[in-house]
Amino acid sequence: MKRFAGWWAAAIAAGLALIPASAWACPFCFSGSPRVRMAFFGTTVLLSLLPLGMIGAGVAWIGRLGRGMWADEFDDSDPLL
Amino acid sequence: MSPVHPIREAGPAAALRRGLVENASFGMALFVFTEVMLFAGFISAFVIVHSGSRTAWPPPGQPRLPTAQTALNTAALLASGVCLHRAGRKFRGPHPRAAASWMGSALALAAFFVIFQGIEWLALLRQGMTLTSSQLGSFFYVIVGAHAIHAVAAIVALAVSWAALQAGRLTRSQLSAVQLFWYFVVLVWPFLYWKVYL
Repeated sequence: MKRFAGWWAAAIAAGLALIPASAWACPFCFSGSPRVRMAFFGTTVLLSLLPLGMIGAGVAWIGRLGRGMWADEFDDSDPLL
Repeated sequence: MSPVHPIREAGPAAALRRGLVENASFGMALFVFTEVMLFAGFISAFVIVHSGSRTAWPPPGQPRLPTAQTALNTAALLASGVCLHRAGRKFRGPHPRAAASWMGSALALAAFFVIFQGIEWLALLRQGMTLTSSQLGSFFYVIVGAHAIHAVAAIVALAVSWAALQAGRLTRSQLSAVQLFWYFVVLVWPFLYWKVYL
């Protein structure tokens, strides 16, 4: 049983994550107007993905710079040959 | 005694020690990251309030925002970004001083943008749109005002860089940081224009 404790915890957490969909916690968020709900959905997507996208772009940029620099470091080609 | 030549360390560890990115550029990139999130938060709040508005938009008694004039101003700002890009290329070329005219053009267009926005604000204030007159007024002055503060700060940085270039003291690192900040100011504006004005 102990071996599967982590899996059980993950399954319970995943199950709990489904509950707030019907909790109606915030009356403004679920005001009933499809326009407001779409706005909330769109801005949530924007605010969630924008930082991840920027971090990914930054990591890719630094990675590209690093690859270029390392390639120069290991360039053993002799221009005289 | 033979002169001592510095030995350039080789290998990935040495490359990392020398640094992949200039400190000024990296610091500015981190700053711009936080600023992008600030404006994303502003725009998100505005979009939600706008979509939840039960009255006409702009609210009754409030003026319509001058979209056509601001489109012209947007073009000036974008042109300023292009000028600074050209200045950067010239600066990294064989004749760095040749960047002065492009940088001066970028500075002039940036000043035009801020002055024109100021005139627009005065007109809107005269028409009764203030920070407290409506939700539109509150968001307009906070969002566009925050952008204007950034634009003014960037203009000061551009002017200092331009003076340093004229004096032959401008470094690549300084220019890269200023470019990064100005590109942020330029590129965030079309989104603000799209969401707030249109």
